[in-house]
Amino acid sequence: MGSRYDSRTTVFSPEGRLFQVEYAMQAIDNAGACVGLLAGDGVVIAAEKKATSKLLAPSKTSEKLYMIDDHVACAVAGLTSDANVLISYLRRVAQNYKLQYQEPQPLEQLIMRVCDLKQGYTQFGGQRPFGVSFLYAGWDRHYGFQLYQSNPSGNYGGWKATAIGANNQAATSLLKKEYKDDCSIEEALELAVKVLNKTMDSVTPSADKMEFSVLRMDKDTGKLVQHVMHDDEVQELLDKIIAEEKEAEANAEAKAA
Amino acid sequence: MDVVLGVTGKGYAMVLTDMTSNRSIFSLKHDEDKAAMVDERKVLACGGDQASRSQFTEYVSKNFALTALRTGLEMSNHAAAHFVRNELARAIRARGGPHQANSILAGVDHEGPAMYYLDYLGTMAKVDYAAQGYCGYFSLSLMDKNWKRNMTKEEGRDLLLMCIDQLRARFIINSTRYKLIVVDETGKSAEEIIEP
Repeated sequence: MGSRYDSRTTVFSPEGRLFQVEYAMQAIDNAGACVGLLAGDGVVIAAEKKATSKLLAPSKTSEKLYMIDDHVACAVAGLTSDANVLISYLRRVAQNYKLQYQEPQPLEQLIMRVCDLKQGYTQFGGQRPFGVSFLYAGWDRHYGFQLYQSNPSGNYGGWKATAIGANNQAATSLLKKEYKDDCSIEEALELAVKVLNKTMDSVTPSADKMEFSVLRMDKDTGKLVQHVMHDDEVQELLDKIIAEEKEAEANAEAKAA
Repeated sequence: MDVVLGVTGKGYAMVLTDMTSNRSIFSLKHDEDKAAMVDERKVLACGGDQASRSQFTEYVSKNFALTALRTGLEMSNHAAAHFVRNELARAIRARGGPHQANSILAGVDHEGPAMYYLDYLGTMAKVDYAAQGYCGYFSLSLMDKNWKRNMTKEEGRDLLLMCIDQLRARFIINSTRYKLIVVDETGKSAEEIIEP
């Protein structure tokens, strides 16, 4: 179990580690999984909704996917209460930037700001770090569509496809195998379902356990749109995938015969 | 009583300022710079009290430099102008008082050339050509009549020279030297001292 280097968040162990920060990251590895994929024409983020009591009233708004600004969405893994604080912070930072410069904040700058806040809790003592990892989907005029990930240590990085939360290793290895550069949003959504299915250890995916958000350019208006998929849209997506899988199985059987 | 003028044209923006520094009835200097590059491709031409002017220009340019270092990105004209306006609006409500500086911010970015009129009250307007202060009384009508979209650099310069002629004929303050700075997509493309 723990050592005396556990008690304070900001003290290095003799091996040069910060245990409290590592524990925070381990805690997130048990949270519901989130997956993000960069498509050629947009970004997809998806999250697993962990099943709780059937007596619990289903939440009216999205549980794990949040809009930060018109051009940024994020997915949360970890302590929801901590996440709420950081999301308010992110939204405020984005609006402040807009107020001062009258244009949307470049994505990486926004992420850097919240990561500076997260980092502060690994260096200045007294409070625990934020137990949250984020996936950010965004667009800016400098680098187009982007996907980022951040964790409680305040580290962040840009990804083509990545996953956080429970079974994220299994998820990333599947992504490594199946992700294609410049894939379409539809392909990215399908892969997201596959990955979530893997992290959830479920045989048949169900719509009430998943959330999807898509950021893309509207073909007609040329404007950026952010869309959290409704339950029936998710169901449609899942039905399509189940049908495809059945077809593939039938083909394989036919071949074997 | 400074002369601060600017026009935009095809792929460029240019500003013209006088070069005198006056106090009371004395003319102290004839080589004062009233326009400065505040970023790779942005020029700030400023009229007003000498101390405020240089302090303000420097404050703006160092902030742009800091932003460039922090982000590695070039600020758009739009963002830069709103930053400057914000600073003017903040200052006029602060204890230190306003920056006594009326300026024209001009630059070229990914969307092409742009020019902004900014005064010490925090007024901002995106314009195609601009004049700051009294010199506008003698030159804006000329610009209204003769400015055209997508003028060449030569045409833009001629328009400003026409304004100088009128100022010399009608304005009680007669400057002997003017400085012209041209910014295009490569940065400052020309700087010229005009002694009509």
